[in-house]
Amino acid sequence: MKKTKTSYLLKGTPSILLVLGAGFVMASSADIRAALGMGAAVLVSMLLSSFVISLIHKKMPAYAKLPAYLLIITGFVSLISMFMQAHFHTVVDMLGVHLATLSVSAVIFRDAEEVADHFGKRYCAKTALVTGVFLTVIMAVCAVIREILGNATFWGKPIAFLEPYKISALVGAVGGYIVLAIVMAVINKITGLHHHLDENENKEDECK
Amino acid sequence: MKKILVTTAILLAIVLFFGAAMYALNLYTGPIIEKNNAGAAAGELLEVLPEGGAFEELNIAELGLPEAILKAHKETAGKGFVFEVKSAGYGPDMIVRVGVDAEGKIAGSKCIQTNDTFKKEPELDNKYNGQTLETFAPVLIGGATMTSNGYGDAINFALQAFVLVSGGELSDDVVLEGLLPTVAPAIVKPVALENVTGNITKAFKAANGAGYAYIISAGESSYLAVVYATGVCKVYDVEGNDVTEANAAVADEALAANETVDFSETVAAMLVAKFADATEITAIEIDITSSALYAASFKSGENTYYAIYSRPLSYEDSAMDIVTVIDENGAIVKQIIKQMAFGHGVEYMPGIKDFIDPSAPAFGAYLDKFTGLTEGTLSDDVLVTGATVSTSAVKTATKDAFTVFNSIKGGNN
Repeated sequence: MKKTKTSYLLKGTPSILLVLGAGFVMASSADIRAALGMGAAVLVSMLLSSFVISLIHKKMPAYAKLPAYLLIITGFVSLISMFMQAHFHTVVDMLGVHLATLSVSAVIFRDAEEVADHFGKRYCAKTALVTGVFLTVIMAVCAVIREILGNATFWGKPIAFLEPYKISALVGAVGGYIVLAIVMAVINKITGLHHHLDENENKEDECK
Repeated sequence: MKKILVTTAILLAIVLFFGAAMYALNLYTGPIIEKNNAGAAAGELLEVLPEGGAFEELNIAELGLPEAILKAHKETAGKGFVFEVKSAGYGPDMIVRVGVDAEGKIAGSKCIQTNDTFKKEPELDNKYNGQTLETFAPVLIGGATMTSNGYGDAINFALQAFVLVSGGELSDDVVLEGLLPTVAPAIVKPVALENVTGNITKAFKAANGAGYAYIISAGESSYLAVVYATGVCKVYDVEGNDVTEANAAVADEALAANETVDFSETVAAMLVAKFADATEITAIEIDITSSALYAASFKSGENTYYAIYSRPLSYEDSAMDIVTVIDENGAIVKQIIKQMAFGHGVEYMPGIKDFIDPSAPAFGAYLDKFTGLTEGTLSDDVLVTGATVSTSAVKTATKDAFTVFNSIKGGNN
């Protein structure tokens, strides 16, 4: 399959198309505050690490790229984590270990390894921005559904009339994946992104 | 070669850059994170000491606090203390956080760890507010006797710890009262009596009918006198030493305070019901150091047996009369239980209802489990799911019966 800028940009919307990062989407979408916190962390770490990687990728031999990229991503995630612990410690408590595991997330690594490595800093910044914003939106949508229906709260505030009707399973891991699957299905149906991508790739293959 | 050097330099630069960045960021975020963490910890402490502000943790090793105290925090403005206390409820690992205000009153309490099956602890949270060491009275909730007792013990330990961290000393009365479970385990769940006379400053009656305990002052000293229902009296000093012989007057005053109970008739009736030809039922004097209260030997046919009697408590303070009959070889011939006490366990485990009727097959089958057991073969097999508290009490009574049997036989089983 030929890799084009279009396919990278469109495919760079994890948890809709590639189901990359589904684990931390599930883990971070039980509460809207956690979802927005994780979204911001992903966005910033992706922007910064993609930018730095695009600067050095030509000077790095292939065998040294993996450790170097991991160092950079881990470094930025650690810095972001320290900042969040100081100013958003409630969100960090909610995210727990999932914030730290962002360092080895396939979402950020894909951006760094494929996009920044291939297309330079201007394009990688655009991809990181699109990926981060879409991921945040997906997590926020999942979080609104899970927090309201699963926990009978919004932004941590109780919604008294929903308390007797809450579906606690939605707050757990299985509920998280179920909600994510439903959101993915709805978005794919509305936007037809998968269909559009498949068509593009078929055309590209035919041209080859 | 050049490529390797460049790669190494880049990797080194990355490491140095992030190392420096983290160091610099930590200078800014470190104090904020520390403050956040302290605030979160203080929040937990404020739940049980709402009037508090900032707290500092005390070094409990230096203060000589009871072993049950796991953590102690002092409110920096002198508004009180917060203790984390380990206790034993239904399971061994109950931890209760207790706030004590500057006047020594309980300001709040919260169970923060437990493994009670029925999760009854929240019902006890904050129920002790306002109590002091002097006015301490256990709070009991139905269907959770062991949990209630464990929670009450934790509160009592916290009140004692407050006295110690405040620079005071525990009064002899408090120390002697604290000795009771250790020196007289047969005096189960002592209940304070209101009317005391003479040199008696405090009096307690065992809820299982095993006897009484008295704090008696004699000159400048105080003693703990334990009077078993059988009429045996033992006197202990504040160190827990048996000083009965040297304090005959104290023992006499304790013995005169209440009537004794003769268990021989109860035991004889239970024996005759199972051993129709039982003869020569003779009481044996035993040193009461466990739940076993009374022992007798008797003959049935050509054989001599030993009957050891216990009266443990189970759910909702119901007492069980248990006689363990052991042969000369140290094996159980018959386990006789007059009545089992299950309390709310009956509601949760319908099958347990069979046990209530001593003539029911399930009850008979349960008792048969004991036949032939020796001290070495007694195991958790005698426990019944859904009636753990009652059957644990039976197991303890059986274990204590073997101990008494060994002492009767001079340690030679």
